[in-house]
Amino acid sequence: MKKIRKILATALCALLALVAVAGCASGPDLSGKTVVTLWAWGDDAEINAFTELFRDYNETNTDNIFVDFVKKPSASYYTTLETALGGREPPDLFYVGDSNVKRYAANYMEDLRSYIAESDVIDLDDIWGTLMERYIFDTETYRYSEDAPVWGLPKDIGPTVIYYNADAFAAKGITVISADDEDGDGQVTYNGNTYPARGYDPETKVFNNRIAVEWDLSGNSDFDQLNDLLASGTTNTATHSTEWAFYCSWWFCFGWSVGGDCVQFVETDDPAYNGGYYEFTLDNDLPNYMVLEDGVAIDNRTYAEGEFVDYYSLDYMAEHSSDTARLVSEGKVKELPSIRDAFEYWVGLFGDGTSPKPEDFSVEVSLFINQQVSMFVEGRYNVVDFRENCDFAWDVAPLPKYTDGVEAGHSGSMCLGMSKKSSVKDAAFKVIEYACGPVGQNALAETGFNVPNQISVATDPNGAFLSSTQRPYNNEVFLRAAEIERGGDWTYVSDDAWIEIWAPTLNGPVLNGGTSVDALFNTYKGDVNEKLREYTLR
Amino acid sequence: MTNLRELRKKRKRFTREDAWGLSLASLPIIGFLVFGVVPLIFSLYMSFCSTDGFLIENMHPLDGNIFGNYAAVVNDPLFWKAVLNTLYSLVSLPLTMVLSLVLSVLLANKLVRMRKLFRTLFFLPYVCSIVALTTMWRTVMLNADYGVLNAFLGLFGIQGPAWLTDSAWFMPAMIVMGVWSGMGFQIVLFSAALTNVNESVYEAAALDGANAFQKFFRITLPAISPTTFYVLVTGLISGLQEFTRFQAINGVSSNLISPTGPDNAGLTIVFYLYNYGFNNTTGMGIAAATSWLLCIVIAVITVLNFKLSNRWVHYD
Repeated sequence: MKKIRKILATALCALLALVAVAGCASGPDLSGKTVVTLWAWGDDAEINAFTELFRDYNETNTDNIFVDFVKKPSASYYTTLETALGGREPPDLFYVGDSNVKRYAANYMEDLRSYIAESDVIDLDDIWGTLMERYIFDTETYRYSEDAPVWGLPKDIGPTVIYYNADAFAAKGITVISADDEDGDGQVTYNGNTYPARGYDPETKVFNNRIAVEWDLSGNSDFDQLNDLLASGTTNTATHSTEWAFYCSWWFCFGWSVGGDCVQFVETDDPAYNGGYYEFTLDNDLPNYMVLEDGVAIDNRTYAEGEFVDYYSLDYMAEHSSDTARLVSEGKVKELPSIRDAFEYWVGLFGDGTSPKPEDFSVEVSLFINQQVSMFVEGRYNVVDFRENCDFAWDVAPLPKYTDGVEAGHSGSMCLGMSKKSSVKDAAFKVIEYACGPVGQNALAETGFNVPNQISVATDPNGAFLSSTQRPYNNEVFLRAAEIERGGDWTYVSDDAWIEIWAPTLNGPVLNGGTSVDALFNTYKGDVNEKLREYTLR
Repeated sequence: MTNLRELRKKRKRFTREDAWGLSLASLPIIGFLVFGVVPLIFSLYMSFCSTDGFLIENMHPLDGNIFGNYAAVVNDPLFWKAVLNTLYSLVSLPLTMVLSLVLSVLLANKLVRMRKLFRTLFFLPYVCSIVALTTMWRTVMLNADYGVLNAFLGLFGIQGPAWLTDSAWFMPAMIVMGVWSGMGFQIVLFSAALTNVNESVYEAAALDGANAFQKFFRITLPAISPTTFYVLVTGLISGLQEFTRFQAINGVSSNLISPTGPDNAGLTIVFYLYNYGFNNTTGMGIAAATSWLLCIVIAVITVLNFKLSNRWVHYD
C-alpha cells in the first residue's frame, strides 16, 4: 500500500512539474515588438480567417508589431469588454457592433479622425456611406454629422436580403431570371427573351432576382400573389413544398420603404436636453410624402427630388389638405402609406399564414434550411451556414419594396474600436488599417461571411467577393443592399432599453395574434417616450 | 491562587504562535470583508447614485430624490412582471418538496429493490452543471418539433405546446425542469431525515392500531419537520434568486424571442436587475436598488418563516 502511495505521489509530482514547465514554455519572441491586443468574437469561419490574417501580419509586417488576437466568448463579450475597458489594461483594439458603439464611444473609445487623416490606406469615401453613418456621431445626441468624431472603422457589413429556395420556386412553376433594367425602359432581357422589369410577374410566374418584388395595401400586390403561390400549407422537403412563403423578423424594409421610422429627433432649446430628444413615432398614421422634383417648398423647407417630406411637416400636410392635394395633382409629391400602415402590413403577414408566428419555431434559420419557408430575410452572415446546410438550390434577391416607395432595409456591422487608454495607439491604428483595409477585407470575403466594407474591394470583379464560385451567385444584390441599407433601430441611441419595453409584446402576443397593434401602442408609447427622453438629457 | 494569576498573565501574553494562528484565521475574514462586505456597502451606495457604464468616476449621488432608483424600480411595470414571474416559478418548490418526499418514502421502503441506484440516479442532476442541464432541456426535452416531452405527449395523441416560444407555456416548462433538477438534493435530505425517525415510535403506533397514512402524517411528517423547514427556507431563498436557468434556457435562435423569453415570460427579478446592470448604459444604480429590494424581501420572508416555524417544526 505504501509503495502504491509512493508511486502515486511521485507521478503526481512529475505531472505538476510537467504542467509548470509547460506553463513556462516560450511563446513567440516578442522582444523589441510592439504588442497590440485585439479582442474579438464571432463565427468560427470568421475567427479562423482573422487568426490566419494576423498570423501572416505578425510574420510579415515591417513595423515590428505583434497582434495578440484574443477570441472571447460571444455570450458575455460586451460585459467582459466593458469591464476591461473600465479597468487598467483594456485591449488596445476590440470589436464593437453598431448596436453598442454608442454606448462605449464617450467613455472608452478613441476618436480616429487624426489617424485617418494621415492614413494612406483608409479612404472614408471608399467605405459604404451607410456604414460610416453609424460610426461617426456626436456622443451627446447620438446623431451623425460630418464633423463628428469617428469612433471606429467597420470591419464588415452584413446587408439583409431575401434568401430564396430556388427548388421551391421551381416546384411551383416559377421561372427565375436574373436581369437588371439598366436603361430604365421597364423591360429586361434574359437569355434572349424580353420580360417586364418586375420583381415578380404573377401572370407569367417570372421572378427576377435583381429587382425588388413590390407590395401595396390592396392585398393583391405582386408580393402577395407570390406569397399565396408559395405557401402550400405543409412542408415537404421531397417536393420542396414549404409551409410558409416568407419570413422577415424586422419591419424595417416595409416601414422605411414608405419613408417612415419608429423614432424622430425633436430639436429643442430646452436646457434639460442636449439639443433635443427622441420621440417614438411608429404609431403615426399620417400618410408620408415623397418629393418628385427639385425645389418643392413645404412648411418652410425646400426639398430635392426623391426626399421624403420631414416627419414634423406631416401634420402641416394634413392641416393644409387642399395645398397637399394640389402638390399631389401637380406631380410634385406623391402620397405613400403611413409608417403605421406599413408596420401593420408586416404584422399582417404573420396573421394571414404568409409567415410563421414566433411560437411556431425555435431556431430561425432552420425555417429556411428545413425548407419550411421559401423566402427568408437575413444578413450576409448566414451565407456560411446555408452553404453548409442547405440541401437544395438557393440564391438571393432584393428585399420587397412598396410599389411607389424606395428600396430599404437594414444591415449589420461591426467595427474595430481603439481604447482611449491604449499606450500603443499608432501601432494599433496600423492594425486597423490592415484588417479594415483591402488585405483584411479580401480575406474575410473569401469566407463568404460578409461584404467588404470598401466599395472598391467589394465591387472588384476579380476580388474575392464577386469572383466567388459558391452560392449565392447573385452577389450583386448584396452590393446594392450595402449601398442603401442602414443600421437597425438598435443603432439609434446608446442601448436598446427603449426597444425592450415594447418589442417583447410585439414579438410575442402581437405577432402570435393575441394582442392588437392598437393595444401595443396604447400600452407602451408613453413608457417608450419617457425612456427615449433619458438618452439626451444633460 | 498565585499560580492561577501567573497562568492568566501567561495567557494574556500575545505569543508568536498566536500571531500565526490569528493571521491564518483572519485570511477568510479579510477575504469576506474585501470581496463580500465592501461590495455590499458599495452596492448600497450605488443604489442611491446615477451611473454611466462601469466607470466609478461617472457615478454620482442622485440629485433631488435620493431614492430615485428605488422609485424607478417600483414604478416600472416590468419589475412587477419580473416579481410575478418569480413567484410563478416558485410553484416548483412545493411540487419538488412533495414529490421528493414521496420518492424518499418509497426509497426508504425495504421492499424496493436497487434503492441505492435510484438514489444515485435521482441525485445525478444535482451534481451536473445547471447550464448543461438547461441546454439539454432546451434542445432535447422541450423542443416543440422534436423534443422528448412532445414526442411523449404525441403517444397519447396530444399535440404538445411550443414550450419555449409560447409565453403561456414557458413558465410551466421551467417549473417541470425545476422540479426534475431540484428533486435529487431534496431526496437525499429527506432520505437522511427518514432514517433518523425512531422505529419504536412506529411500532408503538402500530400497536395502537395506526394505519400507514396516520403513521405518515402523525409521526413521519412531524419527525422530519426540521429537514422540511430547511428545504423550504433554502428553496425559497434560491427560488427568489432564480437566474441561471432562465438565462441559459433562452438559446432560442430567433430574433423574435428576447433573451428573457417570449413576451418576457422568463424575466425573473435577478434577470431584471442583470439586464439593467449590464445591458443598459445607465442601469447600474437601478440594478443595485433592485438587488437591495430583493434582499429586503428575502430577509422578511426568511424571518417570517422562522417565526412561523414555531408552529409546525418539532426539534425533539
